Amino acid sequence: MPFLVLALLLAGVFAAPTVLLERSWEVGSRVQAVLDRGVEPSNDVVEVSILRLKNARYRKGRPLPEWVEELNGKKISLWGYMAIGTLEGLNEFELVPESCECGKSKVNHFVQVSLDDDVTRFIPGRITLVGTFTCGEVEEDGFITSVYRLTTDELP
Amino acid sequence: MNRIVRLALAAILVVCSAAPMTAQDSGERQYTPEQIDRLIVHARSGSAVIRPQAAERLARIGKPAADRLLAMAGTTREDLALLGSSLIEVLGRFDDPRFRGLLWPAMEDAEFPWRPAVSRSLAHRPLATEWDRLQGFLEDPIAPVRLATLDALALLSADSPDEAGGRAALFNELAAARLADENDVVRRRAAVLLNGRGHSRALLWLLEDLKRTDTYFDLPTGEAARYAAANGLQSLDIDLRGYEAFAPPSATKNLAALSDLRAALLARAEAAEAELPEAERELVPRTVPPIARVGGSVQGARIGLLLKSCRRGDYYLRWTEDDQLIIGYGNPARVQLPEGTTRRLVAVADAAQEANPDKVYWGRPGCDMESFRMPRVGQPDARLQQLILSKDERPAPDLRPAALSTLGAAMAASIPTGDALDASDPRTRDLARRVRGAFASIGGPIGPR
Repeated sequence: MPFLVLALLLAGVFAAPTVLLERSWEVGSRVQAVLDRGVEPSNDVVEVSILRLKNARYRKGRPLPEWVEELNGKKISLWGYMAIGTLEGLNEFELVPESCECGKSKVNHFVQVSLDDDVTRFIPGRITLVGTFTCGEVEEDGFITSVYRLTTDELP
Repeated sequence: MNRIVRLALAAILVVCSAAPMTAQDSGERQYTPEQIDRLIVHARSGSAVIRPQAAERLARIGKPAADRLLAMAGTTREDLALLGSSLIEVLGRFDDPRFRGLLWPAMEDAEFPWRPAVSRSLAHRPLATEWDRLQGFLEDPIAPVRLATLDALALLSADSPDEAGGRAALFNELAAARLADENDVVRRRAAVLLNGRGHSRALLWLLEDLKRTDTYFDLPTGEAARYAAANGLQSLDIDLRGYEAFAPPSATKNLAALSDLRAALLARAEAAEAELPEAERELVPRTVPPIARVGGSVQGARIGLLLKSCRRGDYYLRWTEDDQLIIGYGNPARVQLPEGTTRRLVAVADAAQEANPDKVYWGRPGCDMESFRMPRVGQPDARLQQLILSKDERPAPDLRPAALSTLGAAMAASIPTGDALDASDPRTRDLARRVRGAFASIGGPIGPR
């Protein structure tokens, strides 16, 4: 009996990582499937408030609210401001709800914009962009670097 | 059997401790000095989104990180400033009195570049002995400092058994005074803190913000306030009755929700007040003061000045076609100016654009900013032009081009002084002098009056 208890406990200990790993593979496969499938073409542009995205409940490692996830891969129209200090000649910049964010930004308080056919020039004032929205944590070197992203052709 | 179970538990511990740790598990993780230094580099000079995350991780490491940061923080405010705002913000989380010894002089130095971060750092675990010292900062010109001070005093009033009664009552009075703060974020925090102390009537301040639609030119200040108020109420587990902050308050669904919510909040206020001693029941005013009320729309704003200074505070100014000076947002103060004031300012703004053709931005990214809005030369009906200066913590006395200094001086000179402005309104009190001070702290002085 004691050996049975010990065997069961040890089996549990060694099985747990395998189960977790399988679960991770499952999630990973689903993500890969979405990536492979690509963005479904759609002519409908959904108007989204950057303030609503900023105020969506976000906790590191937790799922985003359903309404945000539903926008994933969709074409959206989004207003905002170029973050102060956006450099010229790059193909990406941060779109923020207010141009001055006091030198620091929470990861869910901006949308990382990528330009397909254009490079940045600083535009003061509010701009509206239409592009493909994607969401989910992007991690680099252990830090989350973006949660919301928008790919668009060019600046207005 | 016991021995076997102990053996099994030991095996679990061994296996679990050998499992690879992720960054999120860092609370227990051992960091090498090199890893700590790398995190410090990220927290000081990483991108804006990485700095706070790296600082947060250092705070969780505890003593080894604290020792390294102490060595770097030096002994002067100049050394401390070099750590940057993200690191300064977490220093107060290390239970080390030497950090407080560095933070307090910075808090009391109006020129220190990271006072909002210092105030939040000190507010994390305030000491009972700091009550009097903190209290004075409720009148600080910078809203984030007032906000952090409120939080610190709230913690102290709740955690001081010796003087709890006296401090709790005093805190309630101080918080009630902040319900008329010029900054809506401070007002909302005061309301939430008062609600936690039985003064639920203060939540009507948040209800008022749910109805806002104001803007500062194209900046939707009212919509931002609606989200903040909705989040504040939801954090108290208050059912919003279907209210959606992204929809206009006048939407049918929101109108019904606001009506239901008002009834619920009033019932909550009355029930809470019934539990309070009689003398405290009138602490929160029965009506929301004008500064916190929904404001009427601003028509015909032709020229604007937004100053954001981490040393001197924020100023939202607009000059309208009919020569009104609009001060603040939400329910702004309005002052009638002499006829032709706005037209004259637009002429100075035209000259500023002509002197700097195609240039719209000066400076380095940072938390101090001057933003001028004006009609585009020769395109009176086009979207307003916006010219921006910004700077980081380093002084930049010659940042502003001469033509914009001339415009800034003309704007400041158009602000009435003396009895022409309501001294009881914190937004208009001594406004011209404060605007000149904010200009000086950002892009340099705008010249003599």
